Amino acid sequence: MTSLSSLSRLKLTLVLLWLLFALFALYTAVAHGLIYAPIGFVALATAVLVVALRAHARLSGFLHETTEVCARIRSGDFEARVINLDEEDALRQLSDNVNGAIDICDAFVRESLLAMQAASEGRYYRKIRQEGMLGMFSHSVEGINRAIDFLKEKDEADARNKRMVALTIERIRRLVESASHGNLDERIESDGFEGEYQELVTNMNGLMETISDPLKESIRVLEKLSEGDLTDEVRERYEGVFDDIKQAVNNTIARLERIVAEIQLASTSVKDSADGISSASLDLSRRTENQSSSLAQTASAMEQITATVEQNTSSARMVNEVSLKAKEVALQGRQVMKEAVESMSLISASSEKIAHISHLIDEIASQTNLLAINAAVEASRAGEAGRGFAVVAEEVRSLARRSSDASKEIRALNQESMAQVKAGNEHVENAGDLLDKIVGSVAALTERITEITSASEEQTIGINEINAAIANMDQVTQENVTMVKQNSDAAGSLTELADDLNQLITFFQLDAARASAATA
Amino acid sequence: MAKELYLSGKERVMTDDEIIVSKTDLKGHITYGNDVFCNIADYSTKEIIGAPHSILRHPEMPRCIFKLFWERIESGREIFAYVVNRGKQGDHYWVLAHVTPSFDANGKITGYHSNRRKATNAAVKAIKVLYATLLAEEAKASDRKTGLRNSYQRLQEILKEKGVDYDEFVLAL
Ligand SMILES: Cc1cc2nc3c(=O)[nH]c(=O)nc-3n(C[C@H](O)[C@H](O)[C@H](O)COP(=O)(O)O)c2cc1C
Repeated sequence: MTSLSSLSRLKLTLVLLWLLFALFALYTAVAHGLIYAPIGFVALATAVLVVALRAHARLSGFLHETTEVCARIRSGDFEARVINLDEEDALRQLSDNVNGAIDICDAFVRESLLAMQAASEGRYYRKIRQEGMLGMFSHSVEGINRAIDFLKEKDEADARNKRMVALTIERIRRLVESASHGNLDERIESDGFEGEYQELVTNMNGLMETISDPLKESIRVLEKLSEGDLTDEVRERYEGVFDDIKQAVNNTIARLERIVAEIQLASTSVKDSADGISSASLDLSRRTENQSSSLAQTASAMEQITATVEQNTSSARMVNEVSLKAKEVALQGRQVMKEAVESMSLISASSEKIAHISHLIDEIASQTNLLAINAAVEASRAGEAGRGFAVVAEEVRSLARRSSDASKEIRALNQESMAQVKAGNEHVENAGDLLDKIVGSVAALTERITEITSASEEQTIGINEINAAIANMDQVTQENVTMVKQNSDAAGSLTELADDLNQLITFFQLDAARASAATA
Repeated sequence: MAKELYLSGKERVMTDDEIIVSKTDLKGHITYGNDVFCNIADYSTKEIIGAPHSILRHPEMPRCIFKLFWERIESGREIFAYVVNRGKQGDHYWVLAHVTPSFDANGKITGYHSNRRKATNAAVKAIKVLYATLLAEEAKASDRKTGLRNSYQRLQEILKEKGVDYDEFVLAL
């Protein structure tokens, strides 16, 4: 403002000066009557004034523009520049310098803004170019670039830390995962870790050793134990619960060792006893078998006797039956005899009737014959007409003759029969006597036989009782045989078991010194 | 392309503390260039104001780099690029250009700004190899469009092979 007002003052002074020149020229012209000198003077003054005013206008324009540019820059508009198309002069130098100052500010501001923007996006490689930056600009650029480097390092450290944490967590998770599945051989590879992470990983690996070492040693000892080797034990020194494991394993082995030694002793004595039982029961078995075969023989002899007695009984019974039947038949015979005698007398009566009847028949036949002869005579008289009748009369005569013959035969036969009936009667009497004698003998026989039968039956009962006793004995003996066999089998398997036990026990290898101490 | 550009083969170098500054409108027409710019390119301020920025274009610059360049700044992002420029007299100079959009209060792009620093010899040596490859790719193609597409693709492949993105690659040179 001061410059401007001073410029206006300069302009006013110039105009006043020209006016002064003009008045002075007018005065000399009027006062001295001069014309050319004053006109030339005024013209010169006017020319000087015009030049001065133009210079003034240019200067004030430049100052105005520069002022405006500075104001824009001050308000943060770095687009503003003083555009001066003039050739080299002081003002051009001035405008170049003003522009140069703005340029460096513009460059610095743009660069700073973009570099910080890039840094905020993680593009740390985009720093401010140092070239062209002088003095405080250069220091500021250095400062900002250092800040960017610091951000970068911090960011990288953060990323590294994050990576490290993630890696550590991942590795430990894997370790824990496989450990929780019983795999204690997994270790974290420590490369790729730094600082405290490395330490943590090393400690984790150490922890795994702490856990796995006593377990592994216990496994070794227990595996040997499973192969019967009782000579090993957990030897390393462990702490806390791992020492508890060690003690438990070692105590188990020590106790097992003692038990095995005792079993060895016991199994030997069991075997001895079993052997004794075995040979005794073998002996017993032999004897029982003998007894059994004797009993079998006895039984079969008894069976034969029984059969004989039973046969006797049944024979006697049969004889008895037969004699009873004989007696019955004899008695029946007696009855038949009586009936025969009665029949024979009836026959005699009938025979007499037959004789009488045959006599009658004879008479009738002879009368018939006479009648037939008469008829034949009559017929021959009748001639041809009586011819058929003559034939019939002849037939009737022949019949009468044959009837008479038959009745004669019947009479003869009847007489013969009568004679035989008489003889028969005698025979029947004799037979009746004989039958009576037979009945008597049969009765005596029956009595004997009944006695025999009852004796045989008693015998049978006795024999049956003997048989039952023998069967009983046999059964008991058989049971004995079975039991003796079972006994001997049991003794045999006991021996075998004792052998097996001995065999099994030899599976264990004992620490000789400790074992003898245990059983002593 | 138009007539063969004259190349003097003379290299101009920046000092360590110089910055070449220019600003353009949205189309790449220069609205401001500082004195360092004018001096190294042998242009007067008058000549550059309003001129397209391609007046500095050197034939050894692959087109695909400018494609990437414009893609980035038009999407509102910055880009670093090694650029060889041709001055008015046919001299050339290597720079590491940092081009950024300028925004108004509403975040709208109002123009572009470029700061260029001295490119180190090592970086120039390395980038020359890449640019030669990309240029060859562009020259090989029958037309400009395919050439551009092929070299752009080639650039992506090379970066992929190196396992870095473009910015990381450039800033590490
Ligand atoms: C702020 C800004 C600065 C630029 N600087 C250069 C430069 O230094 N050299 C250059 O060849 N092109 C530069 N360009 C790119 C040009 O505008 C142009 O795209 C490039 O020269 C390619 O020209 P072409 O499209 O005619 O082939 C710049 C563009 C912008 C927006």
